[in-house]
This record gives sequence, structure tokens and C-alpha cells, in this order.
Amino acid sequence: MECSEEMLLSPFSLKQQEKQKLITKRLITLTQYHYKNCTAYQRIIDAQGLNIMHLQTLENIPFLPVSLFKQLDLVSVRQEQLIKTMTSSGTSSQKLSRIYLDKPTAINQQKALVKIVSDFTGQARMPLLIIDSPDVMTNRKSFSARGAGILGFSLFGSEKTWALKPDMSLDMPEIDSFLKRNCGKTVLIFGFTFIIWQHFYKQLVQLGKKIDLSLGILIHGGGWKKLNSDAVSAECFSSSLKRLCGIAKHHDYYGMVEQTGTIFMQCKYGHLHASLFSDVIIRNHIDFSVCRDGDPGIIQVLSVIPESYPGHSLLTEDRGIILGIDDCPCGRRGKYFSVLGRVENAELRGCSDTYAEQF
Amino acid sequence: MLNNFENATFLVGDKNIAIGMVSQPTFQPFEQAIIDFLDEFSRSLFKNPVARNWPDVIALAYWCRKNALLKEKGAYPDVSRRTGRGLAFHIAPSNVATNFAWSLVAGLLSGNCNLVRVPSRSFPQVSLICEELNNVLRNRPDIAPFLCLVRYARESGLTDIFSGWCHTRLIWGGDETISTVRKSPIPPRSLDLAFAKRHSLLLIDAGHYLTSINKRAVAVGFYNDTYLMDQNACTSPQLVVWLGTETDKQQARAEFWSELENYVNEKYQLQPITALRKFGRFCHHAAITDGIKRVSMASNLIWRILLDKLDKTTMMQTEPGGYFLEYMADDISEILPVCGNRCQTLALSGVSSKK
Repeated sequence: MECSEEMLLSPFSLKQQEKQKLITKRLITLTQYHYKNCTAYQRIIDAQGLNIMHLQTLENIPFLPVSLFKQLDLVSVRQEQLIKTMTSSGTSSQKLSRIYLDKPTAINQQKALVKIVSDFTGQARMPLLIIDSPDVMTNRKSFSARGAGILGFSLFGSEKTWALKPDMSLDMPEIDSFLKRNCGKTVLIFGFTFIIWQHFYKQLVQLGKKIDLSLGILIHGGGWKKLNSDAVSAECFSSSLKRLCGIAKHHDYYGMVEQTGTIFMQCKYGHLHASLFSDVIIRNHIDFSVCRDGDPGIIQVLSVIPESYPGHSLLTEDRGIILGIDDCPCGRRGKYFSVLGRVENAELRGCSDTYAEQF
Repeated sequence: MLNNFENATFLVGDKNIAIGMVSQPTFQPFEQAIIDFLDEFSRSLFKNPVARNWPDVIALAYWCRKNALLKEKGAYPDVSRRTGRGLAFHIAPSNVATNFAWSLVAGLLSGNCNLVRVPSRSFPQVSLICEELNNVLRNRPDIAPFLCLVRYARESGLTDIFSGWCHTRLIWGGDETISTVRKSPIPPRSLDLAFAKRHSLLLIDAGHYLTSINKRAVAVGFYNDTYLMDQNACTSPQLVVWLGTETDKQQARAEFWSELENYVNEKYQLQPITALRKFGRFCHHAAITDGIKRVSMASNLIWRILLDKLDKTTMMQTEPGGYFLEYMADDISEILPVCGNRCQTLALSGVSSKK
């Protein structure tokens, strides 16, 4: 039971039809594996009267509600095989998702992330500027979504600099010395959308500082809810950062702690792409049937990675729409889509969104 | 401290009336002036053409007629030597549009001053009721000091202030709301009245149901008890228990649910979030319990979960918006574990209440 085949291929090289064949096989194996090894998962399948021994299509792979990981500890391996726990970031009033990882799952998450991100940034490691505070990473066994994201992207850094102090104020001396050291080099900048806006962009504006990151590639993720309620659109976000620091290349991504690693990255045309390691299906809320391409609905995410917990097929609380298949002008194959926001009224979720509640 | 009022919207009354309430004298239950005022309010609601579209508003108007109130008064012993407790602070639930008004009317009739926090959700019924209250109050300055209806955000700190003032606090809402509100202290001599989450069940005699001529009417009645309020009312059944012979139960269930399904498909607007919550509830319940089965079809409009036993955890697994636990009993005594102190209403169909 391994996802080695996917690992060997270039992550956006297969057409949807071939890709689907490949990942369907793996996802069926995972479904049957979790059924055998996770009592809760087995009960949920049985209570729906589903027969998972004769699964054939991607659409028929059962899904769990993503909220379930907030209510229950779902694990498909023995306790002693677990090496770390990841939680969604959250305030005390919210319940956190808890995701348990064994070694193979943790390693495959990293491998998948490297393959996906390198397709956008190139293979070489670059100096990395993290728009967050080192305080996020205090515990090495337990990671919040923010910590997990940073840890993942640290793999791309030849050196690592934190742009914020523990109190979330700008660490100007650190930033200046990072810029001086890496003058003329391509650098990678990573952070959560809301934190970049609130603590990086706004503070720079306040200080009246302009910095030169024109050779930088910015990758950011996390929710837009708080920014949108402050009337900051994606266009406004990118044009503001371009004006202030010259950042020309930036990629938003869609991902969640329940499927760490297999993120959906945005190409230069603004489309989110599913790699060989994952897929999306848009479902109708009336009966959870699959929407026609181009019709908005609830996003289901599938990932070939999760072995230690039954999170390979999840129904999210986000709305989205399939924009096309195999024909994005950026050249990447497979499905590409757009996230339309959260299902109205759903409890706040997502890393920087939770943090945003305090503002 | 009073700066906080900037975050409050007064739908009826104003800041000064609210502040004055702390020292407002109380009055007798069923005070004549209050009965007259409510009667005028009732008449102005009946006159409002928009009100006709809202059966819940009409029900309120009907109850507030002078005759109805005098009849209600007659149900009490002599209360002429009693008086209200003082300032009543009502925290109305966010899921039932007219509940705030019923709470207010009860507060007025029992001789209290009333500060009512109305739901943040903008129900049309709320604006309708407030509009008519204001219309009547324009000619009744004597009543104005006794009611304020206010809307404010949970974080504004106003719950702290009003709690610190009140003599009675009425909390409508889920267990979570109640425990959050209770973090705001009330004065030592004040009382808390909490109307917590309750559940209800329906007991149907299958044989009797099969003999009923108008099964559509049964479905409509059931719909009105459940879907009409998103199954959020305390009296909305979340559990349906069937009695009777095996064959009768099977046939009655098939007919009952298919009648309901037809009606629900015509009438009910399913929200995406409700569909997700029902699915989430089911998965959680299934994950921790052996032997439950989803028996409804793919549609998310009606979720039916067949249970193989009833116990004291059963009613912790309910969900609003068309989610029904179902159980086929051999004997009526099997419902005892779900009839604890949270059980509000046991609706019967074809089952003698003597049983």
C-alpha cells in the first residue's frame, strides 16, 4: 500500500483520465485499509449501508465530514506508531481538529508538498522569509496548522528568517539584514494571508517603509474571510503588495490541516490546481450528488497521502466551482478550480481565519 | 461604562428608558393598563396587512386580545396583593422569530419592567412586531418606561451591564448560551430563569395510522411541528417511535415518510449548512455507536436514522432541520430512558394517553 507511483511522476503531467485511474486505485485501497483499521470509520460506512469491496469510481469513494476530526480522534494505526499530532489553529472557544501522523504519512506529506511547490518555484532551494513569529513553532511534537505550514515550507529554504517578533510586530533589523544578505537573489516568502496583511503589509505602511522584494516569490494560504470582510479582495491584496515591496510573483494556495502536504496551488492565471496526489469533486447540497462542471457546490477533497487517519476523502465546508480540466493556459493538466468561500454560517475554520477572530 | 450603548440598537425604547428601568416601580400582575395596552397592540397587529403572512405573529396577536388575557388571568388565584419582581432582562433565542415577544408579554403581565435582547438574525417578524409596539406606545407614554427592545453584538459587554442591573434574568437558548450568559453576574437577590435545550418525541400507533383517511393532513401537521421551525422548537419531535405489529409498522413507516417527503419537497428550502450539519451529526453518532442505520434515501431533505435501542444518550444525537431518529418498539415502556427531565413533549398519534 504505497503512493510511490504518484511520487515518481511530475505532479501535473497526467491528463485527468489517466490521473483518475491512478489515484482511484490508491484511494480504493485506502478506503478498504481504513475500514479494516479504524472502528469509527467502519461503523460510519456500515451505518450508511455502503459496500466498499466493490468500489470502482472516484465519485463513489465515501467521504467523511471534515468537522468530524474536531469531535473525535480518528486513527488507523497503533498508538505507538504515531509520531506527531497536528491541530487546526484555533481560539479556546473553538474545537480543534486533531490529526495523528505516523512516519510514512508524515514523510509522504512532505514529499508531496515538495513536488507540488517545486513545480511552481523551480527545484533549487532559496533563502526563505517567513512572515510569522518563531513562537508558532515552540512544540515539536504538536503542530498547529500555522506551524505545520511553516514547517512544510521550511523545506524550500536554504536559510530561514522570521519577519515578525513574538508580539507580532515587524522585526525590521532581521528583515533588513535578510535583504542585504540576499540582494540580487531570488527569495521565497511564505506566510498566512491574513497575517501577511495585518502584520506585514499594514505595519510597513504605518512605518512608511518600502522594501524591495521584487525578486521574491510569495506563497500564502489560509482563509480570506476576514480580509474580505475588511473589503480586501485578492486583487487588492496582490496590487498592494506589489506597490509596497515589488512582489510580482505570488501564489495563493488552498489546503487544510486534515490533508497537509497535498495543497492546491494557484497558477499565474489565478486557478487552483489539483496535483497527482489529490483531487476535488464539487457536490450538490441537496443529495451530495456530483455537480456538473461549472456549477458551484460543496468542495470534496481527496488525497492519496493519509494512512494513519481516515482523511483521504473529506467533504469540506467550503464552496467551490470547477473551472476546467486539462486545459489551463499555464499548461498544467488535471482539474482546476476556484474556492468561492465558506458555506454560509459554518463555524470559522482555517488557520489564519481563527487568528483573525481576535481583531 | 455607558459608552457601550453606542453598540446597541434600540428597536423599542431608548438608552434613557433603559437606564431608568433600574429604579422603575413594579406593578400588579395583570394590571389593567397593561391589559389595555396589549389589547391595542393586538388590534394594531390584526390591522397590519403584512402580519397576515406570518402565522406566528397572528398567534401572538390572538393571544394578546383583552378577552384572552382576562381568561388567562382567571386561571390564576387572586394576585391583587402580589407585585412584579422589578427589572426583567430577557435574552431571547436566535432561532425562533417571535419568542422574544412572548417573553416580553409574560414579563409585562407579571408586573415587571422589561429589557429584551432580540435575536441578531433579522427576522421580518421582529421588525413587524416592533413597528406595531412603537405605534401603540406613541399614544401610551405611561407604558413606555416598562419596555425596551434592544439588539447588540454578543461581545459588546452589554450583557454584563444589564445582568448587573436586573432582578430577574430570563435566558432562552442552548446549554452553551446559558453557561456563557451565566458568566455575567447578577445581583445577589436576583433570580435566573433558564429555558434550556429540551427534546420531544412522537409516538405513533402504526395500526391506527394506517386507518387514518387523510394521511396528507398528518404529514402537513407533522411538517408544521418540525420543518416549519427547522425542528428547532422544543416541541418539535426529534425521535419517532412506532408501536404495533411488525407488518403494520413497516407499512405505516413507508406511507408516513413518503407522504412527508412529498410535502417537504414542495415546501422546504434546505440550506447547504443544514445538509452538512445533518451529515456531520450522523457520522459522529455512527462513529461512536454500533447498530444505527441510515434508512432514508440519498436526499438530504429528510434524514432518518433507525436505532436498535433507546437509552439515555439517544437524545444527545439530535440535529435540527429535518433529522429524525426512529425506533420500532415492542412495548411502550421502552421509551422510559428518553423521558428524562429534558423531555418536553410527548406527541401521540393513535396512542391512548392512559397507556
